Amino acid sequence: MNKKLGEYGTFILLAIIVPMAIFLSFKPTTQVKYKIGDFEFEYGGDIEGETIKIMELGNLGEPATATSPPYPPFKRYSLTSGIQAVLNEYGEVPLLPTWFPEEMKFADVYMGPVTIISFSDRKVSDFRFANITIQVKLYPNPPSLDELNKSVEYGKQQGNNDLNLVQIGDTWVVLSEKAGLGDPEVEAMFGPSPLAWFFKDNYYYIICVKSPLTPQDMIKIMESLKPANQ
Amino acid sequence: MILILPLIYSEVLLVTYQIQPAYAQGTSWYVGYFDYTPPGVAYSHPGVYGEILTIDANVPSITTNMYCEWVATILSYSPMYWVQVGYLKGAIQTWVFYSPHYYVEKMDQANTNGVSTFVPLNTSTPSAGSWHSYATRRPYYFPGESPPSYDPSEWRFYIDNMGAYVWRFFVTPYIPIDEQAFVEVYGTSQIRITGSHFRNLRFFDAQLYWYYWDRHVARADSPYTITEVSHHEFYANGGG
Repeated sequence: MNKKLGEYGTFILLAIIVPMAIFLSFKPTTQVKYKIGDFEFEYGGDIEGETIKIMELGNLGEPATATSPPYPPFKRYSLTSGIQAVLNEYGEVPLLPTWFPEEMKFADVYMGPVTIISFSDRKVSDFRFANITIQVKLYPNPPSLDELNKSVEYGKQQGNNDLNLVQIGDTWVVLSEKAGLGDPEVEAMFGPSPLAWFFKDNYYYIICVKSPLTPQDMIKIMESLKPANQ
Repeated sequence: MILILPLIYSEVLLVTYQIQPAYAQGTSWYVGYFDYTPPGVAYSHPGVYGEILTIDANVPSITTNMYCEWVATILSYSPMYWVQVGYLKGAIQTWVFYSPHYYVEKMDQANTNGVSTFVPLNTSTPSAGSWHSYATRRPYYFPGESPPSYDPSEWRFYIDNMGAYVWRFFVTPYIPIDEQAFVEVYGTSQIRITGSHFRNLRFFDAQLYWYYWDRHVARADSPYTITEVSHHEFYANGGG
């Protein structure tokens, strides 16, 4: 009896282990990794080009905290397909970071009225919950340094002391260490976060990093920005 | 046995792998237009304009629910920043409006906890069946602007009279990236918005002045529906 059980047990074990091994050795295309320099990323979505529709959540039974405009639909791609989509859209690829905090494992590209490139330490439902987002829009008439300076100085005069204009490389950047995130659901998760915005080569960039990343991480990320093919 | 078990096992794993998160309805319903200029198209719209027909819909549990109709300039989608002007009926933050009421609002880097700067305007109130025009505009260095604007982060808001702004905000960042014109319902889809009508949606441009929207992407969350007349006109219906 015990011998028979042993034989069946072996079969049952094999029946479990073999298909598991086959399943685990087969990686869906969405798990193929993409590299930027020494950093390797997986796609955080399920299907290339899937449409992301964000549903806005408030607290039912309580008045709204704002009359929030909705998010538009975005198409979501892996980094490699997304870079190609960006290339098709712009005719060139905007700057990408070449340095990342080690925890960043996933990278996605969202195409909508703006392009949003996101990096995160886990799979996320959409860019709102990623650790790093880089929003890009073609903007051929960028503000002058004088205009940026005025906006910061006037902001400080009105009591907004979290604004600073700094030079990173050859680019002037407006920095905020504790920017609100606009969306109650996201703000509840991360709290005020580091934000930077600047113009470079006809593109308008807004970079936001969320915890556990710090303002210092954001500056290192910005210092590492390079054209994607370099 | 050996053949069947792996099949069952792999099917279970495959099904588990393919299951997507439930696509739940949020607490807001939207009917209207995004401008949605593609990101690679040269863009500069320092203002949006629209005419909105006022409706006076019943709002159940009016101390927690509301609807509003507005035009907005989007300053960023990540994070979500914007400026907006329109009318509202129902509850927001600490206010409750029992009839349609004009307001302006902004969300930017300085707004934390997801709470906007909401300003009800006490000039007059829109009555049901009346048309009113609403506009946002960034007037920095625009020739002929009266009074002149010296702060690049200034956005001005207009209702009915484009010659005199009703409010202004100073926002960071201040560059526009998209426009929207929407009916927004919060809290319950029991609010019936049938009869909502937006027309003459326009962008502001320093060279072209005010010109009609030449593209749009529509959104209508069930049970609400939209009738798209053109890029610059639509009806919103449903609910209740």
